[in-house]
Amino acid sequence: MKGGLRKSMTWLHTWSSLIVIWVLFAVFLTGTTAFFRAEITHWMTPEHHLSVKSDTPLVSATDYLQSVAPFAETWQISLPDSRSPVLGLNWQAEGEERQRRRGARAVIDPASGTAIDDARETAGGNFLFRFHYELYGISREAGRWIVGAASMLMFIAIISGIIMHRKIFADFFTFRPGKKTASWVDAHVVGSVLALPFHIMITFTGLFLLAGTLLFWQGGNERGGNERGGNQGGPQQERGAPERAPQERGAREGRTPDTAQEERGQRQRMTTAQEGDEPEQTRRRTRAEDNNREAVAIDLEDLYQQAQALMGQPVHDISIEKPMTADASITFRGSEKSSLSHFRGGTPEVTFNALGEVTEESTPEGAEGIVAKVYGVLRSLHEGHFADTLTRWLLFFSGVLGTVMVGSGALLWSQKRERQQAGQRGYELVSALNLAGIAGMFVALGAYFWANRIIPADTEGRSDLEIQAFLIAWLICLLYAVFLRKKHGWLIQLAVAGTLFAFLPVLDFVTSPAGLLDAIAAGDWVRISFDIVALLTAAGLWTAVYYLYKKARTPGRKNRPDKRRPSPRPQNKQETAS
Amino acid sequence: MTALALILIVLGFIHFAASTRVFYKLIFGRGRPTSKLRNWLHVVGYMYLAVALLPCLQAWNTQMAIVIWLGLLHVGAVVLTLLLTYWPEAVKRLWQFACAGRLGKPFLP
Repeated sequence: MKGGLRKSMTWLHTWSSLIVIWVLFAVFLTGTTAFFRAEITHWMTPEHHLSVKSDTPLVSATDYLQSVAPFAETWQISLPDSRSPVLGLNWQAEGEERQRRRGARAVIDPASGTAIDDARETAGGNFLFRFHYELYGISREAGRWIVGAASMLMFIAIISGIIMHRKIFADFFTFRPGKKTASWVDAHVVGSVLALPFHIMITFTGLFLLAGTLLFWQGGNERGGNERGGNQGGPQQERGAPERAPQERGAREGRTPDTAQEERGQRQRMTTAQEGDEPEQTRRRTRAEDNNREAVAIDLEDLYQQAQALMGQPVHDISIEKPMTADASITFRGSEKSSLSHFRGGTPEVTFNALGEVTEESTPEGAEGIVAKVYGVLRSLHEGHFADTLTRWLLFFSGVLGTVMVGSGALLWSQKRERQQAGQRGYELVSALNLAGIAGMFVALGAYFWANRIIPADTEGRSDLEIQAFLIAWLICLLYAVFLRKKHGWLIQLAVAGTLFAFLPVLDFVTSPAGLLDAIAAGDWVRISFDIVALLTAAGLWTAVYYLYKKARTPGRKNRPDKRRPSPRPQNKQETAS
Repeated sequence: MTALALILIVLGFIHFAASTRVFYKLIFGRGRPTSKLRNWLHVVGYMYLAVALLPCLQAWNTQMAIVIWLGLLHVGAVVLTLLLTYWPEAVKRLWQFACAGRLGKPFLP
């Protein structure tokens, strides 16, 4: 019976993962990059690269706000942090309806205090982020449904994979390179077993977040389970609030993820932006008495230092009610979460009044209610809301392992069946999709980043063009894979992807207004890390190319099919045979 | 703190590696692990992993510490896998100088 169980589990593992494996690979790859979506958006907005760190970002911020909105109801300032070096400013002019918290109305270079208003419109990291749970070009429900179903099958594959794996410890650390199938098995096991906690976590939480889509009788709720725990941050209630013009909004997207905003596709946002102007004007109230209010000077810099000392952590953003008046109240929000159960919010706050006295100090304990708590923990784990730079990298690293797991699993299937089944329709279908789904995905990703810099900055509908570049590159790879994969398919596609990634840093420094030395001098590590990861990806791709090339060149040994991927030689042989 | 935790985790995983048949040979020369030795190595290995949680707790609050510790477990396991594949001498060195598990070996039958 034991053997029977294991055998059936192996079957289940193989087929439950195979039918969705290319979706899973795309989801894993884009999802892994989505941990750095604000950083990617920063890289993809070279106009922001010029901004330089400053010791007194607050001075620049308040100077600017005083010049544009001296009588505002509120000011909001997001300080530069490890994810983005620019200042994001928001204000609500008097009588104006409350703005959504996400995105900035003005992006300021903290050193010079000038607004950066010519930033290009880019899909940025948000496209990759959105792609990883609702794909693209199909309706949002369908996309989520597909990803949800795929993650369900992935979960099945993980569980059956654990059961079928007899001795987890026996080959825990084993990696045997250069041994054909054994190497792929090892890569698959290393990728999956070593990061098993992560895989279980990410799949389960992903499934959980999409649960509402899969429970079709639940109805009406686009984002699964949102209503259960989504009452913590509050911005959902502001769903009807007017949207800002797209350029302004795009400027600092990704800083404070806002579900309501994520809900909307790019196009939909454009339309709501136009509609949004109307209520803004109708709701404008006349508040003449406030116009002649007295300006009161408040030493923000001093309060800022106090707040930082009180909270014991850096301040992340500041909001000021009735700025520069006697009844101003200034709230500083910290950057570190006290508890995982908040997927949004959950950071300590200190509020001062105009006299510089602390009026309120709060350190949130955690979400209220067990359901909200569970939801909060699961969601912040999946989305890395809590994450500082280190955890973000740890999540990214685990995500890379997951990508390795899915990719090696896909290749393992065709590797194992190559000798018996090559030429058969099913096998050829899988190997074509493997090529397009794995190598092609890298080509598409590389093309996406290239498109960001090559498409002129002031083109209309730029972000859509970027996305189209991604999809067209992928489509070309797919067509190539279907019709020409036997002509060095892997070699060429991986080489193309490797070249794209290898020259990304060069492209970055050529097309960005701030060159390499400027970036190092300014300490723009977000951008430099992106370039380093691009180089590492390129190195990985070129290593694969090197092995493939060596294999393709090695003559003879007909009984040893290609180690890594179906190379042209053995397949040509089968062609002539059949 | 992170580096310390990572080092402790790698050392802990070396104990687990030493208890497998393949890497037992690397570390002890020949033979195969007895079940008593295996249990002993696992206990010591788990202790290393548990101790690695302490520096994390020092640097972060409890919830974050656990998340970071788990993340570092992934990194440590991969680091050790690569070391064992491409630089086994280093693992041998580490075993000789930094692993408490070897102290128990003479007392086991």
